[in-house]
Amino acid sequence: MRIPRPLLVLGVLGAGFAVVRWQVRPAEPLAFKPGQDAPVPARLQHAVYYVRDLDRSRQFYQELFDLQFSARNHQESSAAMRLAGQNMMFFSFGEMHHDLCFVLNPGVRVDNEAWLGFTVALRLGQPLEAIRERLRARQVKFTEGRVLPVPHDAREALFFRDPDGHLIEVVEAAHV
Amino acid sequence: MSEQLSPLQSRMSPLLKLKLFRRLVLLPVTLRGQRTSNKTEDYGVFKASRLSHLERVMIYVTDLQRSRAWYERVIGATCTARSGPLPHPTMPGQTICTLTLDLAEQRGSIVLIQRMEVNEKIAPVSSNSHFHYALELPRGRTAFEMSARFIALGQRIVYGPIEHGSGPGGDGESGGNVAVYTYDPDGHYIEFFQDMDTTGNYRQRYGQRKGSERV
Repeated sequence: MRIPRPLLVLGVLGAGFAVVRWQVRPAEPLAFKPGQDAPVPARLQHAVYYVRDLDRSRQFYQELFDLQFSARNHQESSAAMRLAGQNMMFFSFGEMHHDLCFVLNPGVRVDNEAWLGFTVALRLGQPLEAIRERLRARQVKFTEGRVLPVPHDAREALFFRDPDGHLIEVVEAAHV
Repeated sequence: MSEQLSPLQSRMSPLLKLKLFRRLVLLPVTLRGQRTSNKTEDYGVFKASRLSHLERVMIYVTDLQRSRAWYERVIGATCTARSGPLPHPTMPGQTICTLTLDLAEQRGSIVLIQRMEVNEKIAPVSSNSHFHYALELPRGRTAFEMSARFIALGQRIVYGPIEHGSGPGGDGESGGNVAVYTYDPDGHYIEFFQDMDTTGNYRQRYGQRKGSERV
C-alpha cells in the first residue's frame, strides 16, 4: 500500500516532535506526592548581575575579596549564552561553585534602578579593617555603617559602589 | 519593563537539554574554529575568599503590599520588620519604605524597598541591574517540587526545572545545580535550586587539577 507523501511527512514530523518532547521532559513529575508538603526556599545563596566590563569587575572583586574564579560561560562555549546574547563569569567564596556572577550583555544598559544593592558577610576571623585598607588603596569611597537600619544587629559594616555603581554592603561575621 | 528571558527564549529553553540542539546553536562558532569549552575556564577553587556568604538583597518594588503578598504566598517568606518613610541612603531627596523578609533558614534575606521620587511619585523598577538572584532549597527538597508548587499556585515557570551541567538532561551550563526560575510581580528574575556543585565535590573528582588542566 502506498502512503500519500503529505501523510508521510506529517508522520515523520509528528514522530520527531514526540521524540523531542520525550527528551526535554522534566526528569521528575511536576506534582506533589500524596501527603507531601510544598517546599519553600531555605536561604539566599547567589546573585548574578550586569556589568559593563567583565575583566574590570573581575579585577575589582578579586583584589578586594580574594574571590575565586570558578567558571566562564561565553558565546563561544555555551549555547544558552549564545541564545541570550551574553557572557558570564562565575566566582566562588570558597565552598560553593558560585556565589557572585557577572553578566555582560551588550543589549542591557546597566543601571541601579532594580535594586539598592546586596550585603555580603565576612568570613569569621577576617577583619573589616582589611577591606577598608583595600578600598583606600584603590581610592574607592566608602561609608561606615549599614545601608539600612537592621534592628538587633550590632555588627560593624561599611558600604561602597563597585565600578558599575552596584552598592555592596560588607558586614563582619556573626559573633559566635 | 523588559524581561530577562523573552517569551520565545523561555519557550525554546527546554531544547537546551538536547546536545544536538546545543551543537546546532554553536555550529557557526565551531565552523569558524572559535569553539571553546566551558571547562577551559572552569578552575578548581583551592583557596577560601574573605567572604563567607551572601546575606541579603535589597530590591526595589513598586507596590510593597503586592510584593509582600507574593513573597509570602509563593516562596513562604515571613515579613519581620518594616521601616519608613526614611531618606534614601544614597539618593538625596528620595524617600523609601521597606519590608524585611525572612526565609525558612535565614533571617532578613530579602528587603523590599518602595522608592519615592522627590515629587512623591513611586519610582519605576528596571530590569537592568541584576540578571537574577538565587534561593537555595532545603536539603532533600528539589527544584521539581518547587516547580510543582509554582504550577499549583498558577505561577509562571520561565526556565527549568533543569540541571546546569553537561550530563544527560543538562543545559550545558556550569554549577551542577538543578534550578527553576520565575519572576516576582516587578519582574525580578529569581532562581530556586538544589544541589549546587561544591569545591569539596570538585576535589573528590579531580584532586588538585584545575579546569584548564583537565581539557
